[in-house]
Amino acid sequence: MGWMDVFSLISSWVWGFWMMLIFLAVGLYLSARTGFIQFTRIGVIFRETVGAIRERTLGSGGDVSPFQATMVALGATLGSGNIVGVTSAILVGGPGAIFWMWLAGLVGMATKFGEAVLAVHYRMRYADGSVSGGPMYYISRGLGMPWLGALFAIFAAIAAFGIGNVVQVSAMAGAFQNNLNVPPAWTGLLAAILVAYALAGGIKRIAAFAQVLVPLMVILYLGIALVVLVLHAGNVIPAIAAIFQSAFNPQAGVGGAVGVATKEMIKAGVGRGIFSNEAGLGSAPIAHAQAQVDHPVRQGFWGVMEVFIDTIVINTFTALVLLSSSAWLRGGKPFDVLLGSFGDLGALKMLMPLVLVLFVFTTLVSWAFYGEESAVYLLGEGIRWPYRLAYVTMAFVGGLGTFSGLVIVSDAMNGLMAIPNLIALVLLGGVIAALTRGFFNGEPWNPPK
Amino acid sequence: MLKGNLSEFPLGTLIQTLAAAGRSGSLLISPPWLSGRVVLLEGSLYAAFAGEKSGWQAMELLAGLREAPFAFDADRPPPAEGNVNLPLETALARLLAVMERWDRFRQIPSDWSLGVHLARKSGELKLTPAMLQVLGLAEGNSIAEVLAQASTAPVDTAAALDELLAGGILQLSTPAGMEEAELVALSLYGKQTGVAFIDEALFEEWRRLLARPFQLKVRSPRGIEAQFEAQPRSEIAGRIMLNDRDLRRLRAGRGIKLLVKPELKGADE
Repeated sequence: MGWMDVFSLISSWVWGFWMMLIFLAVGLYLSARTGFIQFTRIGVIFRETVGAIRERTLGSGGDVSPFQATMVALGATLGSGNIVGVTSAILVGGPGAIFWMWLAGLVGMATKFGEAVLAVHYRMRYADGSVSGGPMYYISRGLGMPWLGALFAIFAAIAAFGIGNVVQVSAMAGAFQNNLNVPPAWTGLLAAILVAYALAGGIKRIAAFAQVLVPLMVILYLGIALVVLVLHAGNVIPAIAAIFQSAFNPQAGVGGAVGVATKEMIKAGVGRGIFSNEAGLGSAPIAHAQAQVDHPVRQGFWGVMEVFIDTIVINTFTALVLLSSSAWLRGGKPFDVLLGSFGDLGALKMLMPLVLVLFVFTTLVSWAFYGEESAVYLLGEGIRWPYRLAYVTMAFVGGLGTFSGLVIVSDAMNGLMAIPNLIALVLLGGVIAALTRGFFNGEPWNPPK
Repeated sequence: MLKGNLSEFPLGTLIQTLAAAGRSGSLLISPPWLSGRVVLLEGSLYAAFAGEKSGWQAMELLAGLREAPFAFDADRPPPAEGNVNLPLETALARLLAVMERWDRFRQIPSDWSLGVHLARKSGELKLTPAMLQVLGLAEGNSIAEVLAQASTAPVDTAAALDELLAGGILQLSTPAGMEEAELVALSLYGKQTGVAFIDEALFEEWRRLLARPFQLKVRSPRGIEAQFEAQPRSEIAGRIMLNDRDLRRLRAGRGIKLLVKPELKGADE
């Protein structure tokens, strides 16, 4: 068995069914510890996030606003999984998979809430006002296990080169080549220049990029989806009905995927609900830690909102487009199936690769920050610029090939990030609960020294 | 040049010391709301000025200052004519007696820049001519202005003012120049309502300016007003934290700009 086989085996395990159950269990545990905050405080969460977008900073350390921090996190979270992944889930599990995706997403909200709360609570504050945070810090400072924090940082720093870089640039290069005949080398060069510019400005410039690009791509994508839904308006309600009807009885689907086992449907749906929003993986807290907030729980609300936008809004729109247009019944490659939903709408078909490129680019930039922060945790400030240089170089090279070996390794590393993170979330569940209680009792936040 | 503050060297002690040393010159007393000058000539009390008052009335007014920076300028020439025509011992004895009376006025704060206004609530009080005069001057004027503008002896004016404040006929308000602050609302959750948290730096600044316990008067963009107990909280610069229920009562929400003004406790209650 070669090294690649080992990494493939690790990958299949960390992204497998049992791991899914662990993600769900942790989400349910944190839901219970926080009094099912995603349901019981839903009004507060909306008021504190969507209702407060117009606000800027709240003070108390941090480099970017809570909204900007969330957009950086969302930039990494939103990716091809929201388009291609949801399509795959429906192709494998039928419409009922979406019901299970929603359920997993709702559970994931508590996980992401906990991650964002801990990220702010245990972040490091420096004399110049800047901060650093994320799972490596809450594992190290909260659990007193610096070695486990270092393990997380190693996984994240390596994963960033694959899942955050080469995979993304490669997808972008493919989309440009297929739709606009742009040679991959040019795409790689463009990606490298843009990433270099964003990274050179640190988190503030990355956040400035994200706060414009992420809402833009979300609005663009939802706009495209809405056009399709309007064209198939008569099928939208039956599509929603099909999601519920086939959730427990795959045979009752719209017509396709007949004979899909319930277990396969649940696996497909839950898998999408977990992995699409990355709740539990530990990547997003690195961005949430940067927010200027007066209390960690306030940033936790943004964590919930991040999952809501990803899974409940965007994934649902993707699903409804596929189901209402009946494109999924014809089968085929996921992205082609989705394009098939647009029928003769050439303009929309042209826009889709652009949206995909935006999804990919924001992921590229956000993951650069995750990787850089992880590397800095391990090796100190001196590694910041060498890491940036390596990341930019890989962004250029990423356009030229698929780098399957690196992708396999980084995929495994990305999945492995979850293990130390989930351990910390469980063991620090009491801290999350105490902070949540304190916030809703009007108590001030006392960060650990 | 001899310098200090009346909070450390009371006026009586200061003049006694200068007189015992046989000094000549001007003792300049300069709180932000008044300009005072006591002139000594070879150890004798020669003249006094305080705002629009002069002579013994000026001495009475200056005797009421508990805190004020002073400086003794030996080079400043005395006025052509003196206006305190009392032997030194008599003047000092009177000064100490007046200061003793001032010490009994519990309602008059050391900061005379605070405004005085008529209270809304009614009450019964037998009015003296001095009180009538104070009532006539009260609305919109500061304590310093009332004391300086009344034609009665300052210590009698102060006694009338003190009694009117104690009886609730008059109330103190924030200094005339104190501006409203525009603060962005931040929601607070929990059972505690009626409390407003402001940044500790702003809280300290207002506490220093008012020198008395204060509360906050908050006005929403819809013109709804409410009073809150003021409390400091760290690192919420530019913000005011109010309970979510209080915010709803103000028909406001998180992110809304509210006009906040400190008020001395007891005002308009």
